[in-house]
Parts: sequence; C-alpha cells; structure tokens
Amino acid sequence: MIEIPEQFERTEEAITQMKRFLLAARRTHTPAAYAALSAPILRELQERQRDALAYLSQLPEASAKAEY
Amino acid sequence: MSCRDIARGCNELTRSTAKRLPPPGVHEATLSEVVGHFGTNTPRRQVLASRLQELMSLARETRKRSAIWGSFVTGKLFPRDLDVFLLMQEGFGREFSALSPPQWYVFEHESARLLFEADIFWATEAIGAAVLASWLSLYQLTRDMRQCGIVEVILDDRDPRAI
Repeated sequence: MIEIPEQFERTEEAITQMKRFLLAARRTHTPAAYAALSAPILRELQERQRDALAYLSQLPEASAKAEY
Repeated sequence: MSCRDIARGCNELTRSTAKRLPPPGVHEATLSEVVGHFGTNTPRRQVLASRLQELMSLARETRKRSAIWGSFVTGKLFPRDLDVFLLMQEGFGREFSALSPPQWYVFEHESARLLFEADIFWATEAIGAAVLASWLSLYQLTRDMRQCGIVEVILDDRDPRAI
C-alpha cells in the first residue's frame, strides 16, 4: 500500500520498468512465448497500477502549502 | 566466488532473514543451499522447497540463470508462494510451443501457480542484459518500497545431480 509520495514515485518507476520489459519481450520473443511470459508480468503490472490509483484516490492531508 | 564466500553469503542471508528481509543485493547460492536454508523450518517451507526443486529440475536443460525473491527467501515461517525468474537460452522461445507437460506447465502462468505454487517469470536471453538487469532491480524493492535482496541460484558443479 502506498502511503507517501516517494512510494508513489517508486511505484510509477516500477510500472515504467515493467512496461519496458514487456516492450522488449514483444520485439524479441515469438507470439506464443510472449503470451506465456507476459501473463505474470501483466498481472503484477495491474496490481501496481491499482496501488497507484488507490493512492491517488485518497484525499490529500491538509498541508500548510495548500491553497483553500 | 569461492565456496567459502558463498557459504558466508548464505550465513549472512540467514542472519538477515531472521529479521524478515534478505539484505540488499544479489546473493548467489546453489539450489541445495537455498533448500537447506529456506526449505526446512516449517512444513510449509518444506512443501515449497519441494515445488522449487521440481520446477528447477524441469527447466534445467535450457535454463541459463534463475533467481528467487519474495516471501520464501525471507524469515516468514509460512511463505505464501514462490517467486522465481528463469532466464532461458536464446531460441527457447521457438521451442516453447513444442513443449509438452510437465515442462510446459513451468512456463504457463496459471498451470505454474496451481502445480508449483509459484509465480514463474521467464524470458530468453534475447531480452538483453540491460533490460534484464533493470527488471531484476525491481524485485530488490518490496511492494512497500523497502530495499531487499534476491537470491540467484547458481549451478553446483560439485553435485552430479546439479539442477
């Protein structure tokens, strides 16, 4: 569960790395191999994206810098 | 790396995992060492160790590298499952379609989850060293973004049944 902005940033980086891996795999593997190897990665990608969206869906805590 | 270094690495790993997570970095160990350190404490660990040995054995002919991360290589008494990466020889992607059970089960996600209680991630060497290194670095952070190590399973030349 993401609780602070730094964790959110790291999660976004992880999502980007996973997408890069999948793009490389699409270029270098047969369609059948890609279909098989991408399955666990796509699942994990969805989980991490869900974590990121859950964080963004939370209301921000009141901050001194916030304009009201 | 000498056998003594590997043994020392495993001891450090064991001490650290007593506090839950392996220390940051890639720790090399033979499959026997992994099973000896992580696959004996509880019946759950024994079951997972046996699954790990089975899947490694099925993949051994074309496996080039492999790594383990997640709860099995932590201090948890009852790990939920195995998280394994297999790097296969270039060209395996073409052979993959012709595989038959039980080898095929290793590389098909749902079957692997059912039979080996494992999330098995895999690719062939064609993926490239840079992409692979970047991707493996992902697993040196927990989902809550704490740094942790992974275990690279190396072949044990001393063991004629090495897998």
